[in-house]
Amino acid sequence: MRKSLSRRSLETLTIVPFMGLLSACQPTPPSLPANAALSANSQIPSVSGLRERLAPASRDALTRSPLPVLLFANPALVAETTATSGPAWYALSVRDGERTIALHVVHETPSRDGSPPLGHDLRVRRAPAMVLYNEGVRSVTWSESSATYALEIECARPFEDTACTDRAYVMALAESLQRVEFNTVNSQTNSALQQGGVR
Amino acid sequence: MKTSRRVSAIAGVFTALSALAWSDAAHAQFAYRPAGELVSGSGRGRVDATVYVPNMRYPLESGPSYLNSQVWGVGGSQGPGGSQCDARNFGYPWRDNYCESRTWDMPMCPAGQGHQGQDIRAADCRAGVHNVVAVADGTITSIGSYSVYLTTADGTRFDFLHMSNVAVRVGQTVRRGQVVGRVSNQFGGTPTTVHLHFNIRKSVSGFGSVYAPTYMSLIRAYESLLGTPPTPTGPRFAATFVMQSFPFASTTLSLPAGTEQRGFIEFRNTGIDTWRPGEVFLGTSQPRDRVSPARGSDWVSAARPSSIDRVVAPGATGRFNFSLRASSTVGVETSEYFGLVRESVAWFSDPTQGGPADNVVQVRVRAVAAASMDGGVRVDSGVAIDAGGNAPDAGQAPDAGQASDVDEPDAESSEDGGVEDAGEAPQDAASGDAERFGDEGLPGGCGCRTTAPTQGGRGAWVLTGLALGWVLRRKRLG
Repeated sequence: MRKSLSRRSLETLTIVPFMGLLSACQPTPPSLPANAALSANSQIPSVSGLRERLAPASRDALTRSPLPVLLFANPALVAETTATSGPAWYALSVRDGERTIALHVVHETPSRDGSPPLGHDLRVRRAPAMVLYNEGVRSVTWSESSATYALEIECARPFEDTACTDRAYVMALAESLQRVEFNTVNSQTNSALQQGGVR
Repeated sequence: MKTSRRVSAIAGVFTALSALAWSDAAHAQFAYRPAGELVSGSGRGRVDATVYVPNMRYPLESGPSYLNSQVWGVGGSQGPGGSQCDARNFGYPWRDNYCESRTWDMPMCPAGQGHQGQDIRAADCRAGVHNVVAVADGTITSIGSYSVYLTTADGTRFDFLHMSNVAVRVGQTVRRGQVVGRVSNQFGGTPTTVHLHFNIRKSVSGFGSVYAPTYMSLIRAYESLLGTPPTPTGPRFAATFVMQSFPFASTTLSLPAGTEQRGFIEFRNTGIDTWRPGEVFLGTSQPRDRVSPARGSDWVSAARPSSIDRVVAPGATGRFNFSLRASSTVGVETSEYFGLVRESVAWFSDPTQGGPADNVVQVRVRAVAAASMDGGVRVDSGVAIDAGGNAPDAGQAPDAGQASDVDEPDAESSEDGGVEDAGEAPQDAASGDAERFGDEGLPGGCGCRTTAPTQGGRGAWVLTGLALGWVLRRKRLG
């Protein structure tokens, strides 16, 4: 089913804490709760495959992202994702049935004394993480690669859907995010621009 | 056609006059309770006067508008019985509801949990009538079942919840003031009152990506909507240590007996009042106004080393330049404490002012034989930093903002809620040997003890100072 894994996929998997022991032989994304629609068809395709699933406008937006890009592991979800970016951020937004999933990414604000930010008592993607819950919106935030990520789930039935009432879903989804390289595209585009090429 | 135009023109004039009338009335009446003061019994608020997003537009297109609790307000689940449309919900003063009791984890709330945005009522309780607008230029980055997220160029995100009539789409760029929806009660079928829940999500130093306090930003934005000059908050007189020409130390400054050493101490004005030469002085303390044996020949008086050297607006920095004198008797050590004083008005260390405390800024001078000096100033021992009782919680120090010498900076804005030093240090007096606490200063106030310039080991002083600063911060956060 998954014949080959790219090197980056393997690297990504090995940094997922509870996947560490399994990564060599079980290249499966962290399993999401049983009621999570995403888990049914979650796959880890090649990195280029994920990128190509994005709509052109979203791909362009992420090409301009000033920050390392994490994408959903589920290709079907990626295909529906709207990505946007600005000089200091990028964001993803997608509807998954009754849920809205949003990822908001900005530059990390370093702690003055090097200690983890307050409230970051959990760990996600091997980093100190904090889960917040506000007006029915469940979010997890952590920092990696000098960027701060905030992944949020909003439910149409915020006090009934366990994706919002429970932290497990958002944390598992965060673990499953895939690092996708857009710099190559960016540099190619820049190169083309410099040579008077496309765009 | 003509009639239609006439009617239209009359309606336009009427609307404009109504808006003016509203503005005048609201201007006269607008009032708010301090940040962190919640409805009694509704939890512990965050006392934080930081304007996390200065120059934000108010999120409702027009006023009047009212910030207060939905849960503890009239008709709320914990409030007095009645209708949410009760007139008591639609009046001033505003009241903060950030950190209001919830079982939702939030490290910026004193209780570790709480409401993480601000609930805003429009002019009345009608749903789908009052326009919500973009608070800044930006991009719509997500739209959920009951939320719209707007992200601005710097990555700050503004969340508008419970709206109806959403007028934007994901990926759309919007201009400040552009309508994004209308105030309503959308909450996925969960009952709630007609209001706008407004979040600011941004990275705050020490907390990561969080829902930052919104209250003061909304107050400033509303005052701007009303055309009201911003209301200053905080103590009239407050100072935070910035830098000095001496190393941080409880070190004894060794000077040849009977000689003087000139230097300076620089502070940032973190109060409301502007400092002016001849009004704000460095004064001896412990006890106050004592005649100092370390008095240099350039002191204003026996208890006043110097006046501030320039006009210092809130947020800007200024220096006290003065000399320290060693006793004429070899071996005698002199100790002196200093505080800031607005002459004939108040000491900065008074209970109602913002410090520093009387026992924070200290100097020790020892008279030595000239021969022992090797032609230079000698500093004998280690560093001591005393944070005193002057350190507020993170995010509460109003000493950020753009500092310049006389300009009027926005002393209340702080991007990260902590202590920033964007200051432009005055360049006069003493030397370029000044020491400062990184870009932070001590948290919330001067914690320095002063000694004289050292000829070497400056890096070690800085490192030691930073290490102690780290320890202090750990202690404070712990």
